[in-house]
Amino acid sequence: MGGRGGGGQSAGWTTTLWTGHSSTSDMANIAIQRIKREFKEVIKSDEAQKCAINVELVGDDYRELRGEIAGPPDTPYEGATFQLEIKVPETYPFNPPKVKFVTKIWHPNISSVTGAICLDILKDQWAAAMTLRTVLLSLQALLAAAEPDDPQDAVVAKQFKENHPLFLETAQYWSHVHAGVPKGNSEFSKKVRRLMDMGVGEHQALVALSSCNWDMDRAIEQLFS
Amino acid sequence: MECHNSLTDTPLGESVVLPRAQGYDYEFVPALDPKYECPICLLALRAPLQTACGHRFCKDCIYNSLSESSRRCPIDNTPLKETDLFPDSCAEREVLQLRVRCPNTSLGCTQVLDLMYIEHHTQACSFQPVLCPNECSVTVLQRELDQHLKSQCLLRLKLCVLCDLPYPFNQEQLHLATCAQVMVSCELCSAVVARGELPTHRSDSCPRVVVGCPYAEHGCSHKTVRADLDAHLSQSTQYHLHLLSSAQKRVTALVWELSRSAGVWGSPSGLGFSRQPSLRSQLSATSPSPDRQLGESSCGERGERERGLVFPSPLKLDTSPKLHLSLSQLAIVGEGATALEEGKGGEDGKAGKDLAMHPQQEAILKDLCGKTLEMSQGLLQVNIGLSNLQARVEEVEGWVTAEGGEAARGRYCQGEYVWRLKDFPGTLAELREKPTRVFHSPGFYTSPFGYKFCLRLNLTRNGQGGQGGPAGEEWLSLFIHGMQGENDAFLDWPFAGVITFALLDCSVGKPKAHITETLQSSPDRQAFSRPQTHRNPKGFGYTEFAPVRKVVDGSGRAEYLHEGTLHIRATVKLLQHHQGPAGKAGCICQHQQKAQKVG
Repeated sequence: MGGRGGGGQSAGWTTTLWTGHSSTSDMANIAIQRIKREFKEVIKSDEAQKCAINVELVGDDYRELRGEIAGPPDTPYEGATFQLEIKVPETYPFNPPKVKFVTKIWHPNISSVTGAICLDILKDQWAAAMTLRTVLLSLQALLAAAEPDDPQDAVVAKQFKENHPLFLETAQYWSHVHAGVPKGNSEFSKKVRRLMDMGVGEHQALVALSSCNWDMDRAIEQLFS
Repeated sequence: MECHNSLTDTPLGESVVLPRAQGYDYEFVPALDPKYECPICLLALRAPLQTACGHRFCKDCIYNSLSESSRRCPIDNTPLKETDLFPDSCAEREVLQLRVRCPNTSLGCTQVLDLMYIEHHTQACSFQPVLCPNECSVTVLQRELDQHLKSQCLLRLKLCVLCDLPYPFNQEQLHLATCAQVMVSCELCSAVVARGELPTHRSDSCPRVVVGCPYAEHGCSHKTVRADLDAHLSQSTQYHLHLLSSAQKRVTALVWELSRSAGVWGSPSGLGFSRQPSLRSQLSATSPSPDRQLGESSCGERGERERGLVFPSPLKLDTSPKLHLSLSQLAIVGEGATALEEGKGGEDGKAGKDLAMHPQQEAILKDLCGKTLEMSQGLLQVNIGLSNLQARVEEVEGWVTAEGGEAARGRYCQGEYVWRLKDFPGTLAELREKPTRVFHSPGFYTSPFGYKFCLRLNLTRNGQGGQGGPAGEEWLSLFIHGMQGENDAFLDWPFAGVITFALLDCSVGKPKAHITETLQSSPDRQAFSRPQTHRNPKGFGYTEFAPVRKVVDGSGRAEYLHEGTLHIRATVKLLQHHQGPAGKAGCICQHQQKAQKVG
């Protein structure tokens, strides 16, 4: 909560002359005004200065934003940058923003297929005092501390619990393939390429191999049965 | 940005989202301490409330939160109710004392002042942008508004140098296209006139406008441009004279017809009026008079018609049509005479010479006017008479209605009737003067479909000085008489019931001392058999009902005479018919007086 800057800034022409609005769009206006302030808060924040989080506009009406978080250090996501789709409801901030991962990620609480996130503060534990900045930082924390007992992706969660080193390898390899990490497991690369040589798409091959704990035969069986 | 929404205390749970005031959106100097920031709107707290869990929010923000989302604290998610919210006056005071920059800083205002004064300042701030009141859609700073309105606004009003009327600055061409003072040339004659004068020019002077001959009403259908009209008039003099002559003949015939219908004269030629020197002088002497008379008569007639709606008069039916005919004909004659006069002027005396050949018609006209005057006066008198009659009718109607009211009162009194004897002293004097005089009350019914009765009052002088009081004592005698009513055919006869007389005490502030007597009907009395006349001559009651002395002075405690009016109440209650043997019924006397049959 601390560290948020003052809300005021000098008013421009248009905002100064804007005197009222219809009651139907009142909520939407509250939402947009607040998002504007949160947007500036993120931009000015220390974390943004360190490139840990960032937010950009999609379109010009503040109803949809593109978030960005850096993978936390000492995790298989270190060095990665994850893009997030943030949709702001008209009832914001009284209802949570709708957030999902655009960048593919291997994580027990995030769907490897859709990018949907299982995080309580984006659901029933949302509070109006939360902001874009706290949401992005919470997601960053989620990457560092997964909750395999409350999974979004059961396959990932199973691997996380039963073969944790393989999970770490897989997550790191996904960061390499999708999230801009320079190096990845060369064994995994070979297996993917072999499947690609058989005519399978790269991501399809990646999903099949990751789901089958990188067992080539099972992956082929899954893909071609 | 400042929201100017009202800080109304809106009840929660409404489906309509009302405008809410968010926090104060200003640049604080120094920057706003986060503890004064509303966690919901992220602005400086406006009318802050503090929750039981110790968090502060703008009043409207937290109410919004409670109505829009789960009822929990927006910071720590603990359950929250309206009753857990308390005004935080301390925080409010501190926030209002924070220093802020004027929102117009970027426009040049350098003011930094306490938040509590900022709204007042921005209203007056000379750097405040305002929309041009001329709706030219330009926004200027307040300080530049005057100059804008004076010299820059495209919609500022400018006075036309020609017509002095204002027009918007950017619409000069549009104005000049319609300005009445711009000189234009007449499309017909090419004369140059002001645009506004064009209609007058056309109707009065343009030589190329086609106009009709001035003798058109007499039948000349010639039309030509104005420039050629003089030529037509000089060329067609003979024709115009012929038209005038024909018109005059028609007038003559009309006058003749008029005089015949008025039934006054025989042949106009037999009247032997002296010839008048000139028609013109004759007309000038007579015409104002009929004009005035016409005006008065029509007014009178209209007034009469209005009254006639209320009260049609047979007299009016006799006189009015004839008079109306005369007046309308006279009007035609008047028009003809005017036309003749004009023709005479136009023809330079030639027509006058022509018309002077009918002097007897002038005389008839004159007499006719006089006759009309007489008839109008007669009509006025009749109207006055009618008004008087109508007033009397209204008076009589008033009586009828008053009696009708009394009748309705009696009809629906349900057997309890109060007889108001107005001016009792006068009544008493009359009773004393004529010993045989009796007074009857209006009839009343025991029920709307029951028996009809009336009361009878007269004076009895006690000759014996018996039990009723000293000799010579005056008594009021009170009786009840059956009357023929509408319901007699289906009622049971003889009447059986209990009748209570009461002389009512109208005193104030004391226990009422009504003089009350109750008697019961007796089937063998003629007074209770079905009335064979309008009022049964036989009555039933008390010859010595109440001593006059007591009635008049009230024995010092009761007031029977209230403002000169005596109130006598009769209560008639029916008994179940054939209830008991006829002989059992009799009179019940509460005082010593005896019920008596009176013939």
